[in-house]
Amino acid sequence: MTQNDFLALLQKEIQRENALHVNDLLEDIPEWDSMAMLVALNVFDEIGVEIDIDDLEKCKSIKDILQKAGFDA
Amino acid sequence: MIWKSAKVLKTFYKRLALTLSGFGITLSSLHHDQIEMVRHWRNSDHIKRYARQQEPISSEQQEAWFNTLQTKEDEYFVISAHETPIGLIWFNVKEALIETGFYLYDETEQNSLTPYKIVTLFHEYLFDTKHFEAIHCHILHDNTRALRFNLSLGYTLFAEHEQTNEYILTHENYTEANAKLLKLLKLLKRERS
Repeated sequence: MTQNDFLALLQKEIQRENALHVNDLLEDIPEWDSMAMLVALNVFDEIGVEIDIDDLEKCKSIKDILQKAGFDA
Repeated sequence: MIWKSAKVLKTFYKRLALTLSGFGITLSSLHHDQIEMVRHWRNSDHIKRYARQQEPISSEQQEAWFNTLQTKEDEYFVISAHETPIGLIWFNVKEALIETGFYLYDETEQNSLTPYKIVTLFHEYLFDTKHFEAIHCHILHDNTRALRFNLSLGYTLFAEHEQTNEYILTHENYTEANAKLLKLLKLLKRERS
């Protein structure tokens, strides 16, 4: 899975119309709520990446999330 | 006389402290010494914004409300994360319908997985311990965050009202949604207590 594929999947799963970008801050994304967190956890599970929830909750940006997913963002 | 004694005992045991815990979250029966803290939470702008009653609640009203709980089936729990109180969750029994609600005073927890941890504990109590067949909640029309959250839990639209829409979570939908939720929450390295 490419980085763009991951972003597209995440965008779709959090039900966001606009594309996600590497430098987006989570606090600026209206759809980034508790449901989005759960969805992100599900996406990580789908791509076979283990993540500590504390690490996921510490993410402040899409870049942070991509790095947790193993991409060189 | 025996029936009256049984009813008194039932009420007494119902009011004994109950604690539900897991995923680092604790739900503890509301105690009298917490009602001022809860009243402060309830009167804060970001909480009452999404409440059906917008007027501030006085100490006297809060005291009277707490006293009525002693003879009702309703149950209220203070939510704590890492031993810090962060919100309130409850169910009311209204004409045989179970109506639930909760709020987080600590806004930093709203966009975390904490809400899911809370409702996982609470719904297991309602469906698996209390054996309710269905539960309801009311959501203000402009509360999109709550709507997304509750739909993800398996709630479906039950009725439309002037201020709110009413949603229902049946036992069947709870079972299906909870299985998916538990599968994801079990990915947490922290073990469920």
